[in-house]
Amino acid sequence: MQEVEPTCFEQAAKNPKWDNAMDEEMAALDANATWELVVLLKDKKTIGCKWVYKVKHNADGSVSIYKTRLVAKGYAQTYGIEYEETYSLITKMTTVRLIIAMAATKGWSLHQMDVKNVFLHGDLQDEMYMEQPPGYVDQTHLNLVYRLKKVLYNLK
Amino acid sequence: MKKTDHGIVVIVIYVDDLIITGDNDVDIFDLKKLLKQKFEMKDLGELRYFLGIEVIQSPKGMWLLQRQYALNKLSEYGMTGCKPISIPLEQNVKLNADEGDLVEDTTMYKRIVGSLIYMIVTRLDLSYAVGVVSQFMQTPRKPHLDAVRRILKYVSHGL
Repeated sequence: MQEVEPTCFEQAAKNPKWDNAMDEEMAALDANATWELVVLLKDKKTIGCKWVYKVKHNADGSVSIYKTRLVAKGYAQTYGIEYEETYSLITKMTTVRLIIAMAATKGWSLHQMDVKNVFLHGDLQDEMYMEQPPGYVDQTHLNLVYRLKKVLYNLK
Repeated sequence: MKKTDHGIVVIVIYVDDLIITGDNDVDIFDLKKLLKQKFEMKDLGELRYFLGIEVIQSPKGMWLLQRQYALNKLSEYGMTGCKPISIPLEQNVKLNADEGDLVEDTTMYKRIVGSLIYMIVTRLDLSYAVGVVSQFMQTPRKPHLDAVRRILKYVSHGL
């Protein structure tokens, strides 16, 4: 019942479902001006990136989507140079329960939404360079790197 | 949380997942419309599934359950066909930090206990047993792993 999730690009590329998902992710990133191709200056460093794959299930256990994300290898960043403060929006489980309980006692309706590609909404403050993603290297510009303009997953 | 002319609207944000509620549907509708204009959003309608928790809304109240989460975890840990047990911990058993053989795959132990901790959100009956096994996360031993497996069997009871 559980489908195997690929751990690297080479495995995923064989499956058209993952291939499509990656194309979509790349299109979304391009469309949102996440980056631009530039020549890397001598004293600058790049960070790597990789694809991660996840089969998402519905509440009944059926497959809902094949999800891929391009993530930066954020662990290569140095505190104080490439990043300073880190912050992320997380709700405590108790808060979620509180709100649901409140809605239940007051008879309010509860709705749900989600944001497609959250990271596209954060502008990047620091100067960051990233290698071109596996499988999506511009063959005419092999030596160029991406200068990131927007935040990517796993960037600090 | 925002007070409006009509009443109140509340938004809960978990990275990219949102719960929206409030005492009047006009404001909820307006807020959704605004969010859709500003961001690329997907409207999932009534709250049904959030962070692995199923929500069933009825006029009598709400049900929160992690049935599917539990089933997924049981299959992930190879416990799908296990014999259910109605008590989460063996009675009168003392678990010690330094008795028994060491568990080889300590990551797996930690992962299972982590899942069990998350299941406490809707299964408060698990909290004592999970509290006991979570004390041995540092150096899990065979008897501790047995206890963890027993809790999984207890979870499968009544699923």
